Amino acid sequence: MDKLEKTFDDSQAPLEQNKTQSPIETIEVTSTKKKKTNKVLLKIGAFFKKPYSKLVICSAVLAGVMALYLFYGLLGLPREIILFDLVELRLMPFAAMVLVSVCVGYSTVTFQTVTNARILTPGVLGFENIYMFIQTFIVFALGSAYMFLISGTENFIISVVAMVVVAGLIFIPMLTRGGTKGVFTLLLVGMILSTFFASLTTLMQYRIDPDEFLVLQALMFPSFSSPNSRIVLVSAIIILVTLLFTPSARRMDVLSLGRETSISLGVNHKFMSIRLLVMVAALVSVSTALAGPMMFLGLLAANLSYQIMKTHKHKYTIPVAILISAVAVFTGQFLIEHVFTSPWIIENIFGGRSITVPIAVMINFVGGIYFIILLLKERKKAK
Amino acid sequence: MKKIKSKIESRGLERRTSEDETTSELFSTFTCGENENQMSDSLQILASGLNNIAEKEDRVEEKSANNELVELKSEKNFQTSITAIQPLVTFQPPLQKQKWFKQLKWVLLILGGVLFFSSIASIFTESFGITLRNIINGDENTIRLIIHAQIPRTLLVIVTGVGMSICGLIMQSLTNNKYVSPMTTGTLDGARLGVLLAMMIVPGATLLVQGAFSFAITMGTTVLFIILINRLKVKNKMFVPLVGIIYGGVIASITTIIAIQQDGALQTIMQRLVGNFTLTLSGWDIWIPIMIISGLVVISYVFSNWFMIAGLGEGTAKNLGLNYRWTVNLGLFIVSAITAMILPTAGIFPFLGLIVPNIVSLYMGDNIRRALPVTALFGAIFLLVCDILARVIIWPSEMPAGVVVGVLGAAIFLLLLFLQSDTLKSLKGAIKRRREKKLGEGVTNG
Repeated sequence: MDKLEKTFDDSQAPLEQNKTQSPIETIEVTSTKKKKTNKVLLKIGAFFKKPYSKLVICSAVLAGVMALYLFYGLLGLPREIILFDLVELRLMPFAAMVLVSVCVGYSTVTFQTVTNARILTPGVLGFENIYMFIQTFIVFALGSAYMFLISGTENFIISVVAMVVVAGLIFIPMLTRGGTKGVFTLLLVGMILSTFFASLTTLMQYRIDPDEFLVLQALMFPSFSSPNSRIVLVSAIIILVTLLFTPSARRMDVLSLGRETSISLGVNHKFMSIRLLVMVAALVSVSTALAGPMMFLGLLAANLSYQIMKTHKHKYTIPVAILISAVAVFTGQFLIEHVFTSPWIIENIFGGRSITVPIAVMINFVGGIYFIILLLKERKKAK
Repeated sequence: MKKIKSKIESRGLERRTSEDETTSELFSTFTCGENENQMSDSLQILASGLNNIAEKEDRVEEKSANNELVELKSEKNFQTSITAIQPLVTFQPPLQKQKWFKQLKWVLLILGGVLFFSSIASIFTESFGITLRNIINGDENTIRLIIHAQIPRTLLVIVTGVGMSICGLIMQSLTNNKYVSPMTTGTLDGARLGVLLAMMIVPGATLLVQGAFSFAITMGTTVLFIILINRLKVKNKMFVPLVGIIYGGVIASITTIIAIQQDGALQTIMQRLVGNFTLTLSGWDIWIPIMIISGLVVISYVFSNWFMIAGLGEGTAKNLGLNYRWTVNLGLFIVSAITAMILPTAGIFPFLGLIVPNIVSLYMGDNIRRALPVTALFGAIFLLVCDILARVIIWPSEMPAGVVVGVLGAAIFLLLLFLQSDTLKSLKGAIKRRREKKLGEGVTNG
C-alpha cells in the first residue's frame, strides 16, 4: 500500500520539475547578452512557482492581515488600554475567525474531493436551516425556560450533534450509493430539504409565544463580534478531535481520481467517503453554529487555492484553502469594523451616511462574482 | 412488450392528437408568414398565429384531399425541412386503448371538479363565520365580505398557482432541464430587487408601480442569466441550477446591502420571502395582475409546443423551422412578467414552479401541450389547499400560505423521489421475482 502511494507521489513530482525548468533552458539558447539577468529573474520566477514558497507567501499575507486586524488603531495608546483591548475585545473574535476558516477551508476541499465537483460546497446542503430548525424546535417543544436552564455551551453541543446526525442520516447514504448520479440527487434533496426546514421553522415560530420568540431571536444571528469564550473553546476541541481522523493527503489524492480508479489503486472508496463526509458534517456544523452561514466563502477559498497552487494535491490545496479563507474573513472583518466606520470614508465616499454590511453578505457578494468570472474564464480556455 | 408500451405511454409520445397536428400546422404557416411579410411586431405575429389556428381545420381538410407530402414539397424550399417533424409527431399509436385516468379529458374533468369544490371551500373559510343561512337571509355584511375579500382572494390564489407552476414548466422546457425553476435562476431575487428599488425611488409606490419595476429588473436578470448559461456552454444538467443559485445569491446580497441602509426596508423585503394572501382585498391592484397573468397563461398555452421544440436545442429547433431566438425571448418575457406581477401582490412561493411541473410530468409525460393545462389546474388546486390549510391550522388567526407550500411541497417531492429511487425499484423487482418463482413452482408441482 505504501509503495503504491509513493509511486503515485513520485510520478507527479518529476513532471512538475520539468515544467519549472523548461523555460530556463529554451531562453538560454536564444539570448546571449541578457543571459545573466534573465537567469536571476527566472530563478526568482522558479522560486515563486514552487508550492512551498507559495504557501509561505500566503501565510505571510495572512500574518499581515491578522496583525492589521489585531493592532489597528492601538499604536500610541497606553499599554494597559492596548492589553485590555487585545484580550477582552479582539482575542475571542480572532480565535473564532481562525476556527471558522479552518472549518470552511478543510470541509470545502474535502467535500469537493468526495463529490468530484468543483462547484459544490457543503453550504448548498442547507446546514444553517437545520441549525435554525433545531434551535426553534428546542424552544417550541421545551419552552424558553429550558434555554435559560442549559448553558450556551450545552446548547451549542446539542445543536452540533443534532446537525451531524441529520446530515449523516440524510446525505451520506445518498452520496455513497454511487457515482455522479448520487451527487445530483444529493443536491436536489439538499435544496428541497433546506426550504423544508426553513418553512417548518417559520411554521413553529408562528406558534411560539412572542416572549419566547425574543429568546430565539438572540440565537438566530450568530456573528464574530461577540462569541462566548467557552463556546470558542468547545468548538476548538471539537475541531481538533475531528481533524485527528483526517486520512493521509496521498489517499485523498487517490480518492479524487474517481471511484473506479481509487478502488483499483487499493483505497477503500466507500469507507473513505463516509469518513470524510462525517468530518465535513462535523466541521460545517461547528462553523455554522459559531458564525452563521458562510456559503460562498468555501467556494472562493477552494477554487482560488486550486488556481494559485495549480495542483490537486491535498498536501497543498487544503492548507492554502484554509489560509485564503482566513485572509478573506480577516480582510472583511477589518473593512467592516474599521474602514467602513472611519469618518473620512463615511464623509467622502458614502456621502455622510454610515453603512453597515454583514460580513456574510459581503463574502457572498465577492465570492459569487469571483466564481462566475472563473466559470466564464474556464470556458475561454477550453476554446 | 407491455412494459415498453407503458413506458411510451408515460412519455406521452404515443398519441397523435389533433392538438399536435395543429401546432405542426401552425409552425409551417408561421414560418412562411414571417419570411414573406417581414413582420417585426410581436403582436402581429401573435395575431397571425391565432388566425392560423382558426384556419387550421380548413387546411387539414385540403391536405387530406391531396397528398400531403407532395404538396409540402411543392411549396417553399425550406418547408421540406418541416417534413422532418413528421416522424416525431406521427408516432404510431398503440392499438391498446389508454387507461381512462390517463386520458386528458378525464384528468381535466376531475381536476376541474376538485378545483371548483376547493375554491368554494376557500370562499367559505373565514374567521368571521360565513354561513349559508346568512347568505340566504341576505345579510349585507356577509355578502360584502364575500365580494370584497373572499372571492378576490380565491381568484388571486388560483391565478398565482397557475402562473407560478406554468413559469416553472416553461423554464424547464426551454432549458430542457427538470431542476430549473424561477427559484434557481435568480428570477425571484431579481423581482425582489425590483420591489426594493420601487420602494426607494417612488415613496409610497402602489403594487402596480412595484410590479412594473420588478418586471424590468426581473427581465434584466433573467436575460443575463440565460446569456451567462449560453456562454458557459455546459452540458451538465446539474451545473445550471447550481450556477443559478450562486447568481441568485449575488443578486440577493446586492439587495441586502441596499436594503440594510434604509430603516425597515430589510424587514419589508424579508417578508416578501413568504407568500401571503392575508391582506388581499378587492381593488385595481389585484384585478390588473389577475387579468395580465390570465392573458399570459393563454398566450403560453397557444405557444406551448414552440417551447417544447426550443428545448430540443438551438440546432434542432432551427432545423425544424422554429424562430429559436424569438421563442426563447417570448418564454423569458412570459416568465418574468408573471413572476413580477405575482411578487408584489402575493409574495414568493418556493417550489411551486419546481414541484408541480415535475409531479405532472411523472404521470402525463413531457408533451408540454398535454401537460400544460393539467399543470395549471394542479398548481391552482395545490396552492388553494395550502392557503385553506394556512387559514385553518391556527384558526382563528392566519399564517402565510408560503410556509405551508414549503412544508407540504417538500414532503411530497421527497416522497416522489423516494418512490422513483433505485432501492424501491429493486425491492419491487425482488418481490416480483419471488412471486414468479412461486408461480413457477406451482406450475411444475401441478
